[in-house]
Amino acid sequence: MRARGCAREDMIMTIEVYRTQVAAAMKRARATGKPVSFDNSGPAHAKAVLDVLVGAAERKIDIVAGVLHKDIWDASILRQFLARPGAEARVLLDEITDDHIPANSAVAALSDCRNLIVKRLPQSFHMHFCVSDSRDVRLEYDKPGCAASIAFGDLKGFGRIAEQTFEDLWSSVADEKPVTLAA
Amino acid sequence: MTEPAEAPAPPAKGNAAQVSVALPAAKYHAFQNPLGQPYDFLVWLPPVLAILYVVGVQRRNFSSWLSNRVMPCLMVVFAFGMGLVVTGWGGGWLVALGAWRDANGALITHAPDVSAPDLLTNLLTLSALVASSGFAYLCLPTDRVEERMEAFTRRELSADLETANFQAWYEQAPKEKREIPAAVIIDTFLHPMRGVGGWHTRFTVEQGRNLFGDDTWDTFSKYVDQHIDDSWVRILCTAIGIGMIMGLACLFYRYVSVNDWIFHPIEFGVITLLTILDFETPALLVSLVAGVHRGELAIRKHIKNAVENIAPDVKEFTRRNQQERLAIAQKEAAAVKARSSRRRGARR
Repeated sequence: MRARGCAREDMIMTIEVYRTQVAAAMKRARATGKPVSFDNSGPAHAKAVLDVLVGAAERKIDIVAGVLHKDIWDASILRQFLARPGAEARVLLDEITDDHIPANSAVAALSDCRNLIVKRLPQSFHMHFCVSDSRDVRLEYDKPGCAASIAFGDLKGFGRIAEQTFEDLWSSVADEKPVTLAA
Repeated sequence: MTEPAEAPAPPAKGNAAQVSVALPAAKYHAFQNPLGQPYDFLVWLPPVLAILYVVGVQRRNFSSWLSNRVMPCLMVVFAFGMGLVVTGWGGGWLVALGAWRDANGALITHAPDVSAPDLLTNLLTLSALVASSGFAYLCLPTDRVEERMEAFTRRELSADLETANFQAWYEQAPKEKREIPAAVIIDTFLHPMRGVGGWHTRFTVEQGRNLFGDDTWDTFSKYVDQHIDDSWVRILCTAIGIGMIMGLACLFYRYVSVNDWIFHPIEFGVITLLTILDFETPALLVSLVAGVHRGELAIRKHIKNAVENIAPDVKEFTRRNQQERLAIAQKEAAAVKARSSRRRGARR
């Protein structure tokens, strides 16, 4: 007798399971000292990766994003990071007009954080990325689909290059004033 | 035990609409159960427990879980419903719905040749069979070979590579790379066949032996027959075992409460068969599980080795992709910086 009409388990991973795996990947990178690389796609998975990445950051986070959408970036996790002694976050936004922070931006909820510096990038950048402590990177190469390459614990390779890339962009707006954070 | 009350005499013979055989009324007494109505509990407990288990375990995934099991759920509900219908048809809806206390009186009036204890036993057995089989199948998806192996393969990949990275590598890999045993094993286990047949039909006997070795493949496939899904065999064995144990328990209770053993040839034959099955089923189950388990353990080692073998190629592919993308971003950032420097220089 065959198993006719009996569907197998739906194998699309739930976000909770994916988040657990991402956290495990971060833990593995820290424990072994070796980089852990993977790709991801979709806004829900992007959020899961960024929650883990920001949560594990210790000193510095550098971000190039559109508006830092609050559906992707968790303001409470960012706030927890910014509350750490010596922590600093630098953000370049390439989809805001003038100096106006839109209401859908996570930055709007962090207007009281003095160690969060936000500047406008005058031209749209091909890829958005986030690098923390020069070792954990998420590089979004397909913005509409939120497809990204991620590397945890890659201090010598991916992290260093991503950090240098951010510094180039940051220095290109050295003359620009930071954006007023009050929405 | 309380002395059972005299049951009313059946209608006189000749009334074909109501009587077929005049049976001694003394043999069929209303159940006087000092504990109340345990049979309601016994009949409905397995399905209720199964539903609670499913809802409790699956929680937020319940609708997704259910939508993948529409046919099995319908089959279980249909089979259970048929059990109720058959019992109700034979003994009235009071019996089917569990009002045992009133059922016996109704039976003796309307269908004196039908034994209320028999009906109860039938219903309980059917209920236990259906609920057990449904529960065993629906609530234990990883009991299915193909899903078990797929879940294991994903776990092994996630521990080192990520499934998505492997799939991205596989899609662009040249043919000779895709045909190496490690890639074939991983890709096949990641994409089990749905429904009919299960994963193992994707491997021919020759392929299975080439990939896993004669001994491993033969041990495994001996209990996972190409034409029978092992989960059905296991479910049937489990269901028959549990159902028959409950049926025998009810028969024993009937004997104790009615204080008589009514001989009926068909009933005797069924009980004999059930007794045999009760002893055979555990042995069959043990050998089935043990055989499958031994074979599966060996196959799992092959999957682990396959992931280790394929890891360097996949990791190299992933890193190359990441470096290419980062190089593009780096180049663009350098261009932005250069443009900005030129603008500042021009302003001065």
